[in-house]
Amino acid sequence: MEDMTLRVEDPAVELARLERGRASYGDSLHGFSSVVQAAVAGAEWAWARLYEDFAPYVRGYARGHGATDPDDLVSEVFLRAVKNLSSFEGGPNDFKAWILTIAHHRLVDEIRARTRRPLELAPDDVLAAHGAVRDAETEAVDRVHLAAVLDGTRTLVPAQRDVLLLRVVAGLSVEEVARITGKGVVNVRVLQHRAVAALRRKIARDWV
Amino acid sequence: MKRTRRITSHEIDQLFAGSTSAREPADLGAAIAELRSELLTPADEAVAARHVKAIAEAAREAVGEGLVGAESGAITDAWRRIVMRSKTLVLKVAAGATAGLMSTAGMAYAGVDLPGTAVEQAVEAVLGLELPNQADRTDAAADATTQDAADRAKAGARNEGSGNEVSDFASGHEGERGCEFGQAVTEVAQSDKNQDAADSRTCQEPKGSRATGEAKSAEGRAKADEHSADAGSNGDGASAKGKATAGAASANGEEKSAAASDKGKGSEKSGSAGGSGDDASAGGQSTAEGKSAEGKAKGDEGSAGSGEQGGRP
Repeated sequence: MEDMTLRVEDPAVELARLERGRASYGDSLHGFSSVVQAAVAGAEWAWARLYEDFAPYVRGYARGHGATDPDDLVSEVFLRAVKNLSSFEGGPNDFKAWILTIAHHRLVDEIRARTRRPLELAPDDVLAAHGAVRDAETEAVDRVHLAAVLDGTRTLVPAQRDVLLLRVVAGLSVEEVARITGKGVVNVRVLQHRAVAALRRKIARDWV
Repeated sequence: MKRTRRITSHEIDQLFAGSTSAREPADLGAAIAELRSELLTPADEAVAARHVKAIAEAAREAVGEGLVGAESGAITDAWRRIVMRSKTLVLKVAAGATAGLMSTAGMAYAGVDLPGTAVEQAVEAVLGLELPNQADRTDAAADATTQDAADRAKAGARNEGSGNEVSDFASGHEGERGCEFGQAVTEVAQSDKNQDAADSRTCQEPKGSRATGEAKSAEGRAKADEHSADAGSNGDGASAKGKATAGAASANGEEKSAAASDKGKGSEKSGSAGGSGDDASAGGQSTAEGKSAEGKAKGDEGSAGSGEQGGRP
C-alpha cells in the first residue's frame, strides 16, 4: 500500500504541485492518494472533491439516525477528519468507511445525549420535496411507502438501525460494518436479518 | 395467516446491492431503494461551499501549526495521554490527602481523642494550627488528677492513723478524766504532727550510715548517764526537766525509739532526749510512754521517778 504520510516543507509549493496533478481519481488509488495529499496540505479543491463524494453518505447516515442537524454533523465530521487525515491510508472505499466511522462515533455521542428525545426521521418538508415532479397519485403512494420505510427504521433498535443504514445507505460490506460498529461479523449478520425482518413486517402491514 | 418466508443472508446481500431476486417480494426491494434514494441526497450547494471553505481553512491552519504528519500526531497524542494521566493521578492523590487531613483536623477540633500526636503534628505542620484536646495534654491532666487523688488519699490515711492513735490512747485511759487527761490526749495528737514533720525530714535528708548512727547513739547514752546523775542530785530541777522531756519522749514514742536504733538520725534524737531526761535515753517504749506520763501526772514525785528511770539506761 502506498505511503500516504505527507511531509509538508512548503505548503504553497506543495499546493501548486498538487494543483497540476488535479484529476478525477475514480477508483484509482494513485489518483485518490493525490487528492488526499492535497487535502492534507489544505487545497480547497481537494476538500471540495472529498466533500462532494463522501458527504452524502455521512449526511444520509445522520438523517437515518434522526440527527437534529445533519449538515452541521457533516461539517463537524469533516473537521475531525482534517486532524487525522495525514494518518489515513487506503483508497476511496477505505476513506468512506473511515469517515463513516467518525460519523458513527459522533452520532453515538449525540444519541446518548438525546436518549429520551423522539427521532425526527421524516420531516414534512423532506417528504414534500420528494417526487415533486410526479403526478399526485404516484406521489401520494410513494409518500406513504417512504413514510412506512422511515417509520420502520425508526422502530428498529439502535444496533439494527446502524447495520441497516450502513449497509443500505453507504453500501458497506458486513466486514466493514463490523469494523465501524465494533461488533463481530456474525453479530452484524444477525442484526441485519432482524432489521430486514422487522422492516418486512412493517411494509406488509402498511403497504396493503 | 400466511407465514413469511425466511430471507437468507445471500438474499439480503442482493437486496442491499439493489438486485431483488424473483422470489423476494418486490415491495421490500422497492422500500430499500426508496430509503437509499431518500437518504442519499446531496447537501445544499451554498451549505456545501461554506463547509468546504471552512474545512480547507482548518487544514491549512493545521499545516501552519505543524500538526500534519502521523509521527507528530502520534507524539502529540501520546504526550497528551501522559499529561492527562499524570494530572488525574496527582488530582486523586491531592484530593485524598486533603480529605484525610481535613477529616482528622475536624475531629481534632471537635474534641475527639485522636490516637498519638502524629496527626496533631501533621496538622500543625501543614495548616499551622495548634489543636486543642490532644492526647499529650490529656495525659498530663490525667497525671495531675491522679497525683492529686493520691495526695488526698495519703493525707486521709495519715489523718485516719493519727485519729486511731488518739482514740486508742483515750480508750486506754477511760478511768481518767479532767484537765490532765485532756492535756495528755492533746500531746498524743500533736505528736502525730511532729511525726509527720520528722518523717518528711527523714525522707528529704540523706540517710547516715548505720555505724554513724550507732556511734551517735552511744554518745547520747553517755550524755544521758551524765544527766541522770545530775538529775538525781538536783531533785526538783530534774523533775522539771523530766516533765519536759517526758512530753518529748511521749511524742516520739515507740517508733522513734526504733528509729533511733536503726538510723543515725534516730540516735541523734535519742541522744538529745537522753540529754534532756533519763527516759529518753532508755529508748524503750514502755519506759518512754509510761514514765513520761507519770512525770507529768505526779509533779514533784517526778524527781524520784525520773531518778529511778535515769538509773536504767
